[in-house]
Amino acid sequence: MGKTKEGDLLQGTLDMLILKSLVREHKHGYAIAESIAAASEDALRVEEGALYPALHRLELKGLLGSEWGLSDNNRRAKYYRLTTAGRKTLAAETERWTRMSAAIARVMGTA
Amino acid sequence: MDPHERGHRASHGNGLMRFNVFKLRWRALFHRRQFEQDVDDELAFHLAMRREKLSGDGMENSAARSAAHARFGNRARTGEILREMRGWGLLEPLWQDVHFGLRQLRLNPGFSSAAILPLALAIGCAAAILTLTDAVLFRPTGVKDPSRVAAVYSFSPATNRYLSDSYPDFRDVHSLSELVDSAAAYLRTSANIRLTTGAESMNTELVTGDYFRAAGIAPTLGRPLIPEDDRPGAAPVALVSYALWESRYQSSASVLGSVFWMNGLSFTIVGVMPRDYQGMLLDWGGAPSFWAPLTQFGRLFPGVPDYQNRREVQMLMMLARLRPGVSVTQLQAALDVAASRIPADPRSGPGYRLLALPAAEARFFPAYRAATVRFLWMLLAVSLAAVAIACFNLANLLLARSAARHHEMRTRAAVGASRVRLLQQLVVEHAVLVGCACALSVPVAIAVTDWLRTVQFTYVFRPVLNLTADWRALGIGMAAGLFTAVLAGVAPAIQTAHSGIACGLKAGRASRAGLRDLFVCGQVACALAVLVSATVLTKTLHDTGNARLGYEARGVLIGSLDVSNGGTVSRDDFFRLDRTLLNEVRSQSSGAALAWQVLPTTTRTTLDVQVAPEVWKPLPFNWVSDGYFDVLRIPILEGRDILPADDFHSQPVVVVNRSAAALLWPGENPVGRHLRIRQEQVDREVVGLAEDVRLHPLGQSEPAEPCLFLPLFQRSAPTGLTIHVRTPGNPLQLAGTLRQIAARIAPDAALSSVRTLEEQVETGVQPMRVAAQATAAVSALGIALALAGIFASAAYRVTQQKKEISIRIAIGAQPARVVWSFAARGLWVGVLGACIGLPLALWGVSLLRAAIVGVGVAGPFLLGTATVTLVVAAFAAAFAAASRIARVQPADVLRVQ
Repeated sequence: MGKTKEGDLLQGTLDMLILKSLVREHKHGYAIAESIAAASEDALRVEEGALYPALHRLELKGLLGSEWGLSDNNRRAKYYRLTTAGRKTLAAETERWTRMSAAIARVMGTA
Repeated sequence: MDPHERGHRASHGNGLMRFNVFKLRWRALFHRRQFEQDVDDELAFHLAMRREKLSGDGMENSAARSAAHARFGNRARTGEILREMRGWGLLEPLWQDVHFGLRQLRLNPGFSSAAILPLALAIGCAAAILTLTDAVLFRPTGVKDPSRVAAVYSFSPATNRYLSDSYPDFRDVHSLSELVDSAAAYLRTSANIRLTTGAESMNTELVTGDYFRAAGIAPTLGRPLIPEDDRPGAAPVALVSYALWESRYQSSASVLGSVFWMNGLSFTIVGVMPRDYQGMLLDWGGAPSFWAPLTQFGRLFPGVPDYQNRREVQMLMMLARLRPGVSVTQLQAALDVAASRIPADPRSGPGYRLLALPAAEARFFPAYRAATVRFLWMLLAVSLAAVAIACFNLANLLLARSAARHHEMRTRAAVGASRVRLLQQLVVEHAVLVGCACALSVPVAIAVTDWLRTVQFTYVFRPVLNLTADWRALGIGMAAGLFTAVLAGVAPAIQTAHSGIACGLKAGRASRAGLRDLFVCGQVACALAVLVSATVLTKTLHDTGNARLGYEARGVLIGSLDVSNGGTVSRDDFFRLDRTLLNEVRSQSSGAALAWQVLPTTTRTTLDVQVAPEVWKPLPFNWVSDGYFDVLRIPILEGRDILPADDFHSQPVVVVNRSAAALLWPGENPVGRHLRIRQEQVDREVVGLAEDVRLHPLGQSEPAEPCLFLPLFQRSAPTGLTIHVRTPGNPLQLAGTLRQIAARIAPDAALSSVRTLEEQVETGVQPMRVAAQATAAVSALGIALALAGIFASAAYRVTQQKKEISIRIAIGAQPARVVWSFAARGLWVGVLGACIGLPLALWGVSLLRAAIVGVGVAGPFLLGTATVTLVVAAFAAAFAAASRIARVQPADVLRVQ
């Protein structure tokens, strides 16, 4: 059971990172992986394959939209974008995260 | 729970998300290839980008590819996860299995049609028969709230007969007002109807004032009959049937107030009956065209006795609507009490009483109900047997095919399919098969129902109108078929799936030869039982259908007519007209006679005959003119025929048949004896003894029934008659002549239903014939399928030992010897099966004999022929299969193995 909870936490975090990475522009999966890696300075690097189930799950939930387009090097690529629902969720999650990390920081005495 | 998901739910609700999931899944389902391509492309794109990035960083190509893959993780697994997310969970493999099943059907058209067609036929027929049964026994007759309605009949325990009621009986029931809300009596009679011009014979129901209230019928148009219409001296009014209103009055509202003539009396139409109402009784001649008050009975038929006050004049049917909360049992108790208060009831016999039956059991005159129900059950049993046989066939075919699929199953099991998964696939395949059969059964059911509508069941029950394919019946039929068929598929599926798991890829199945022999054995045994019972049943029904009538129907033309014009003609004129008619017709033919009832008849009218002082026995009778026995070729055994001289001025006489003589004067010559009929003042002298004839249609009574033949011209009340004309050639050629003569002699009379006596007999025989044909068809199907089953399983048994045959031939055995050894084994297995099957067959026949009256026994010839046929079939099947294998080069077989 412990394992599942860990997974949940990781999944929730990954979802948030994905949503966050799509705030400015729509991206394909590879670009999302790169931007998460860059933004987190490789700290949150996971197996890149794990990104895709998360993307598809978010798409199924209606938080992401997608369309097929051509990449910079003229390959067929699937581009994801935030939907309105996705933006709202991201806002709610960001706020929750901020409050929680602040609380944790207080507990840890780092604030 | 995923906090993220919770947040999302809070903001957007369930419905939208579900819809989105559904939409995307739906798209993935119907654009499966596109979706799979997309998943592949997406992952490939990522890997390609990563590889290029790494190459750009200076990595060597192949190393870059490996590194990209390593960073990505398990690509195949990821793809699988993505597909599953769009999938339908457990439905996904189901969809695949359905596809696979359909493909299997397409690839094996022979197997598919052999499995599907018999099942579709059987289910379709069963559904049609169910429709018929439902329409006849259960579909509402149009009576409102039938649970509160009781039908009341007279019952004589002495003769164990149901009888119609008298008008005083009706008054008794009517007076039980604390229990009965309303009571009604009615009778159906044929009358001479003139709408505008030209006379026609139509059925009319004459009803008492509360009929519409008791039955709870609201007219489509106009008003119902009310008690005021039934008062003596009331103006004649009537309601017209919906069918007649449609066909003759163009469904016009102007029908109200229009006038028609019934037996010369003018009636005003005051209403139109509901469309689906055709009377309470389904088996009292044709559906009525008019409903009129009973009080007009005397004016319509002037000769009728004083039915209102005489208890022995029993010609009415009765129904009673009970007050709320009153049960039929309570009514019965009250009837018994009321009967005990009438000491002067002239009807003799202990226990004579009125019997109340729930309306649901009164769709037929109770005496005929048993025959009707038995007939329907028999048809139903036959059609269900057909379904069972088709399912058996299906199980057989599936088992036989499981042989062919061992390899496939083993391969699937070897690459990791679980047993449950294999079983699921087989069950779905099977369901697809049965589903196709169900779909095909719909047109079959519709066609058979249409055909059943054209069959005239007049003598079991009259044609039920509005007999359309019933979806409920079809549904029940299909569900039953589906259930049994799926059940039939379980064993083969387990067997097949098991064979895939239990045996390694190369494992042989030689060890199970004994079991397979047993299977063939069982097949032969079952086939033998089916063959013998079916033959016995078919033969019985066929014999009944062609049973001896006792009179010769061929060459006789009959036609009904009423020269009395409903009794408005005086008795002397009536006799004069009849006599002229007979003479005219005789001059144009080789014989003619008039009779009151035409054979075979469904009505059971009786006269009470005195057998001892104050002991009366009801005996069937007929009024016949001179020449009747000659025209019908009924032998006179003793004494004389009825003569033209036997009329009102001469001594009353009677001719009795053999059974009546045996009943009244056992072992004595009846000629010269006298008998007293109740309601007659003088005894009748027996002047002749006639051979027995079949009075009623088949399946309704014993072949020999007592009957009295009374001279027509000694009858006091003129009525409608049937003229019987014997011709040397085709009787129908005389139809025109007969019509001309009738029109000349009695222009007011309606000559109707001109037909041959053979047709009349045929309608009586037809239900039996239909049953015989249905049984024969099912038997033929059963036997064919059983034989096919023997062939399939014997061939399967041999095919299983393909390897053994090939090895034996390969190491030098004579192919012919090998083939013979297998064929001999088939023979022994067949003989063993026959040994088991014979007692089974005898048991089946004894069951049939217990269930259906008159079923014959299985003779030694039948048993012998059936046994030999099936043993030869088992032998031939083994022989054919073995020689086919022997022809193949052994090396080929072994290589394939």
